[in-house]
Amino acid sequence: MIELTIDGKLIQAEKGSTILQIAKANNIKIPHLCWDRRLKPYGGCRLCLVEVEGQRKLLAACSTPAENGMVIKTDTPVLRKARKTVLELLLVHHPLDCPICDKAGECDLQDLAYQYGPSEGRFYAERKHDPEATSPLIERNPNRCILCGRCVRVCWEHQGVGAINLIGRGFNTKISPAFEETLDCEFCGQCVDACPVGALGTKPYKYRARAWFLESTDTICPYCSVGCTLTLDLREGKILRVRGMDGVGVNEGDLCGKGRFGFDFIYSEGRLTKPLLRKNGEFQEVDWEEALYYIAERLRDIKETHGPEKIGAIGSARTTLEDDIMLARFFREVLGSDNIDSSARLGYAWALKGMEDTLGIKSNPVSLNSPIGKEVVLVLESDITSTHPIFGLKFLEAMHEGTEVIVVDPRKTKLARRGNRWLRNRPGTITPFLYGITHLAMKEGVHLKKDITAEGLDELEDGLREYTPGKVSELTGIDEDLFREVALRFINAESRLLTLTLGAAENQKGLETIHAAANLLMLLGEGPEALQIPSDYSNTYGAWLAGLRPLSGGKDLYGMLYTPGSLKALYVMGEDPLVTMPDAGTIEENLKDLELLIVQDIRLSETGKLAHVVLPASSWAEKEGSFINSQGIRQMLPKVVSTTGDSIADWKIFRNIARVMGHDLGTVEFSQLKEEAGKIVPEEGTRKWRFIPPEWEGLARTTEEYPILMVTGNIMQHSGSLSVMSKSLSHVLSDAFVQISPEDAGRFRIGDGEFIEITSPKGTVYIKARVSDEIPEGMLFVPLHFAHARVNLLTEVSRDGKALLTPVRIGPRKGNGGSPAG
Amino acid sequence: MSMNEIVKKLLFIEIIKGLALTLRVFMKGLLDPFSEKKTIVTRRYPKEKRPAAMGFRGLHALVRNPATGEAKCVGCGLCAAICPSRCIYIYTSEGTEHQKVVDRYEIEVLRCVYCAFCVEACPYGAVVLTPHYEYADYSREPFYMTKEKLLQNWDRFMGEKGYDYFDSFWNPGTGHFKGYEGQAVFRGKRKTEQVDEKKTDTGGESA
Repeated sequence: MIELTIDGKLIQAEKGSTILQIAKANNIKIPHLCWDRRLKPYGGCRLCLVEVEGQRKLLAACSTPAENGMVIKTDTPVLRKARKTVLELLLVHHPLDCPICDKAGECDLQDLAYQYGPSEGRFYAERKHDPEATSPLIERNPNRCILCGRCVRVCWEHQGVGAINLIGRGFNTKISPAFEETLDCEFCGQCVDACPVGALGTKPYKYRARAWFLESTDTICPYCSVGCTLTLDLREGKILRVRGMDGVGVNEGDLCGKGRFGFDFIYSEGRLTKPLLRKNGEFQEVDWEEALYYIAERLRDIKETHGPEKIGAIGSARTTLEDDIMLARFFREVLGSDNIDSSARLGYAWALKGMEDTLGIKSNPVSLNSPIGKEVVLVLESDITSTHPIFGLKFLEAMHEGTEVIVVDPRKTKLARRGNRWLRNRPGTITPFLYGITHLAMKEGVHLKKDITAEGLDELEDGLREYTPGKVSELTGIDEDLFREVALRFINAESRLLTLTLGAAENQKGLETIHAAANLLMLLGEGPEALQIPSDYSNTYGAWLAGLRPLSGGKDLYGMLYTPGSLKALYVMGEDPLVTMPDAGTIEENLKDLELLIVQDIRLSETGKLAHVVLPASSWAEKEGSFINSQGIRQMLPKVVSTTGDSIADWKIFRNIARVMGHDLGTVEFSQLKEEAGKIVPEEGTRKWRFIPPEWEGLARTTEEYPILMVTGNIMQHSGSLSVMSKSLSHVLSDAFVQISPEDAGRFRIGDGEFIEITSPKGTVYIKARVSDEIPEGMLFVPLHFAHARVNLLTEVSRDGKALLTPVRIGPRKGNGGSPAG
Repeated sequence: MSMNEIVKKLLFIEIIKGLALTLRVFMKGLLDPFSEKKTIVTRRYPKEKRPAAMGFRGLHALVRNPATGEAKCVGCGLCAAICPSRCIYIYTSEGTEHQKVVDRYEIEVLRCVYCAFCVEACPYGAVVLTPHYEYADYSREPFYMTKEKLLQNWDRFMGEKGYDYFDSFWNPGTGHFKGYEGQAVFRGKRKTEQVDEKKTDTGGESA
């Protein structure tokens, strides 16, 4: 602790912090332009100058460490004069187009010029008039740039991308992507929030409104399970842009591209406005009354003739907790059916089961800051910076603070590029990799706790005997010495963390991976905190807790969608199984056999096209509710905009159907439901540890006929089937593609951008190829979001949670005719 | 009270004096209504219109840029920000050349308080209050001014003379305070020469 005086105020502060940090913490305002909480001090703008007694020169507060006994003044005539001069110099080249600039009204430079600036500058020079640089989502106006470098440093230091940099020197300095090409980055838009002036802006907001026309509301992002707080800026009831507010929410102001630009899916043209009822094979718009009476009558019929066990429901991972509760109550109380499940079954449920089997816990919320301060972090075949971007940033942050981030992934993901070490394994071999480390830990881990009381240790040891470093090297394709080195580094670390994602869209990890990871951690004496598995989507975890799963022996997702004849009626809320779930061919057949298919969604989905009744639901921001994020925190969402057409909130639809069917669920208002949702608590487990012997079978090995492994997953700009509705995100990526390695492209004579034919034992699809060195030889990576590509026709489903990589063969597409859909 | 005053009161001298003045002026106008020295201040309004003084705040208009033929407005929104009755609505978007386009500029005239803050706030001199004041109507719709209507207002009520408008708005000269020919002015009982001159100039009746 040190003691210093700022503006006559005696302040105690931590040693090593800078003057500006101490002043900020004590509410003393020092102007600054280039400083950012998340970045290293830069000292470029010279506005944070302060006077320090005994120092001849003025010091930059942002980069001067505070010392004991310093006497600092932040506002004196000398400082005002210095700052005024700095501003005058900044304004020499800065265009005076504030009436047009979107930043006017919230511009740091404008505010400071008003505070300090003279109305007329003493220096004259030609103002810059370079052309604006446009890109799909981010607009750069180089003239307004004051070269503070915040965007450059956020992009590189914080975001780990490095898409732009300062180019040239002196007056010719400018900020530009490499070789002054069009900006082509991951479009997170962090640079836009960082820019203190109007040099960077978002395309959807460009020239839409002035800052003083906007009203701001905070809400929670509907995309991934991090649960970031978005600050929505609305004008006359329409969302115009999304910003992250420094220090607000779990994300503390960081946002990814989906959160920042993906909000416009609610304004998509495809939104449903009226209930659709199939009459004589065609959809007809009907009013709510007709639709509800039809549903009530048909459900009652089916319940009476076939029994309630023939009616099932699939919930969504993106509807609110309150909607999920009402769905579960409607099914259990009104229809008496326990056939309820959600897409969590395909991913997160296996993660939870895996942890229950081994660590004996029924829920393991992640902690966003868990990587920080750990000695070694192992990221297992997971592109966390794409699927959970803000969680991913914490790994980069941890790396800057000295954590060793080791990435094991066949794909060259952002963490693979930026992490300390990257081991490229063969796709789907992360489980033997973990077995190998566990084996090594047993053999060479002299430091291991002697008192392991968990059962199953002997069986584990037996099972792992064959996974010697040599064998693992052979299986995974990682060099034996390198493997041994990394494994020992992990085993011998003081503190460690294992992380992976297990999403419904991913097929290279499974239950056995979770078991293997938990085995290793238990052996090393680590608790559940060292295993970080975030849930998929905004409310995956909430849906699970709200009871969207069979609780008393009902059919689960596999029983409902993949078992022919198991159901007569199915109620699908906010989910599109035909696009997002594997083995779409089987699902389609089973859905077509149904007597009644009710789809409740915000747009006419692929599944909706097969339905008998389609009900329009209000989307995110159009209704109140809450999400439970992967940290287990319940965050409330306010109603921000008015509903689209006749759509109403999902929970109200269930309330109304129940009323029509003559049941009163007792819930009339949202406040009652909110209270009910507040009572949900995660289940506790036995916390009894147990080792699970290895069970990896090397499934879905390639054969001569199908030599390539296809991996599915989420990508940076899209997640699930919601983001494709967003116009902005579709600007960046609008078409389905498959990533293919340059080696395979050469071998199969495939050019970049050409349509290729992918055939698996299940079927054939045609899809555009993207040749990318992110992918190793013998692997394809396909995102699942695009309905027209129908990639899920190729995939298989594994009922016991095992990873099932799809073996495929590829070839150039023959001829040019025909539809691209397989 | 002196005797004189009592007599005056009893005989209504002051009242008769006043009535005499009224009668004299009335007869003067009746006998010579078109004389140079106008004495009648009553106007036959719809036929005879009062010219508005410079800087008069009447119906709104958007200035047409003679170079482009379009509105001068760039949609900075300062007028809407300063407007105390919040009756200005501006909607902009990005044009084909990546320029800022003002799609809609609307003024709800019925809510306007004619403070002319919008004119003062405008950095481009793009919005004015014209001297036009005859726009009473039977429905609310004509009082909702769209961008096209506002540009037409400029053509109809300002046009060429509009370019002098801002001169007189920002740098009003002595003449701008003089009032128009025939204006009825109450100037109090100041006995300075200037006031007398004015009195004869305008020929208006003053007490």
